[in-house]
Amino acid sequence: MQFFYGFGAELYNKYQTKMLLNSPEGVECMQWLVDLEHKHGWLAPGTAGRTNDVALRLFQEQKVATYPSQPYYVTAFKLQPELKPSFEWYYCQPPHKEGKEIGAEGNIHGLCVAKQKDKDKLAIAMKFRRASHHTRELGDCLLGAGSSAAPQVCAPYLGGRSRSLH
Amino acid sequence: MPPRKSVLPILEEDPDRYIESILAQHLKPFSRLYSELVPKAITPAWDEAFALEKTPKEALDWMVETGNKILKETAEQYGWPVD
Repeated sequence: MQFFYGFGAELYNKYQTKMLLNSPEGVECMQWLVDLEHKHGWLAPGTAGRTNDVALRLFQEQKVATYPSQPYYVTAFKLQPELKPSFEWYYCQPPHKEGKEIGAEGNIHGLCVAKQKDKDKLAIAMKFRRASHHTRELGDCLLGAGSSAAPQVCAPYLGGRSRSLH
Repeated sequence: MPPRKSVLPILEEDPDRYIESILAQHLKPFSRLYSELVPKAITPAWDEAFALEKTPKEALDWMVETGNKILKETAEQYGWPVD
């Protein structure tokens, strides 16, 4: 839901007596999410049915680049002795459209993002405006475009699909 | 959740019934709502959209239509406001 809130969509009306997620903002966000997996190849296949424990494992194994989470994991990950020394990641705010509030729900406050050393560039990229080219920019930043890290992060879960986002 | 009656007077008058009221007014409806909304409306819509079986709009329209039926049934059962 944090992504939907970041697009300006709401799940319910004010008194939670009706669902509203099929608003233009909601549809735009859903299209963006679907495109991330199917059009841009940025999300690992199986997004819709992926459970939290699987997502966490994939992130720790460096097979996906982001993990929606809370700041608690900043400490938790650092205390994981089995993680590779090369495992580098950051915590950042969820993506949102310009002029819309950043979405946070429950204990999901932001994103743990792997393989990105330029935090300033990441912060800029997360404030995308339109899905298409900003998605590419977002993907470039998250995956470290131009570096050798990108194909190593997601390739096992993309079935050999091209990782090029350029 | 919709606004509901305060259970605090019940706590003062009948502490034993307080727990029953909490369960009846909050926990059971909440549990029923989400135990039905997620598997019957939200998850199928997500699955169909990501499987490209429906467009995002088609999936969300169906989710909202189905979800609102569940919301209405739950509201009527527990006396919550209905639009």
